[in-house]
Amino acid sequence: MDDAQQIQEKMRSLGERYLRRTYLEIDQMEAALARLRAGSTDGLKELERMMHKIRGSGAMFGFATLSDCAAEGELLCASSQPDPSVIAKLETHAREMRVHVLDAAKLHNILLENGPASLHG
Amino acid sequence: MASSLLRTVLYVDDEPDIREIVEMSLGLIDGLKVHTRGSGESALADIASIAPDMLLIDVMMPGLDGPATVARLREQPRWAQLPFVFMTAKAMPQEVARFKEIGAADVIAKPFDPMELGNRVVAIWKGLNHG
Repeated sequence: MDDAQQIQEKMRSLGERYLRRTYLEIDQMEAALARLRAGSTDGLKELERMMHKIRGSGAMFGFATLSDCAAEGELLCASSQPDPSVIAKLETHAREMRVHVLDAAKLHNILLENGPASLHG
Repeated sequence: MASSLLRTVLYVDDEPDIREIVEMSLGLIDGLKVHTRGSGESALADIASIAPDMLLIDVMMPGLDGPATVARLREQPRWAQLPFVFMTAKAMPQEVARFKEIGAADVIAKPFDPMELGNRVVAIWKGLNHG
């Protein structure tokens, strides 16, 4: 296997891991959004950072739609105060990101949730 | 005076996947030793033992971000002249200009081509050594 093939294989493997991890991270994002909705005044910065990471790594692994959705969410976090309308928009982004993760997993034949092995492989 | 050969690079990023990719990519460069750390804090703690010729560092990290880590490093005379390159998904022209104003040798945008990253880093190094 030459260098290019090795890198391609590594990227594929890491991309799978990224999708599995992102699927779980969206749970964390939704929990953070629930806290914001319940009146917590911080959390938007952490959400911005999470979206930023999903955006950057998503683009690295070729998950452009997911990356673009995360980019929009990141921008919203960076430019807004946590009022109900912003939280609602971010909740929509989180749902959309979950759909994009599921679509990408289906396309690439990756199991996201079927026991601990598939989540932590 | 900077060494003419780039021997050791330290890459700092809180994202483990990206650290693996960078380590793999830069590992394609013959003779280049690559160290990675997952935070600005760990980079500061270990930099003396790593003694890199160049620092590649992600901008957005929890705790000490890239610019803050670099600022702390530059407080130490030994590292004040260490060449550093930011890596970021936020590489708009005004941000690149800002990063260069604070002394970055260059800014590498994410996503990057893993097959080309090594060549880019070597080119940046060579550019520094020719003034």
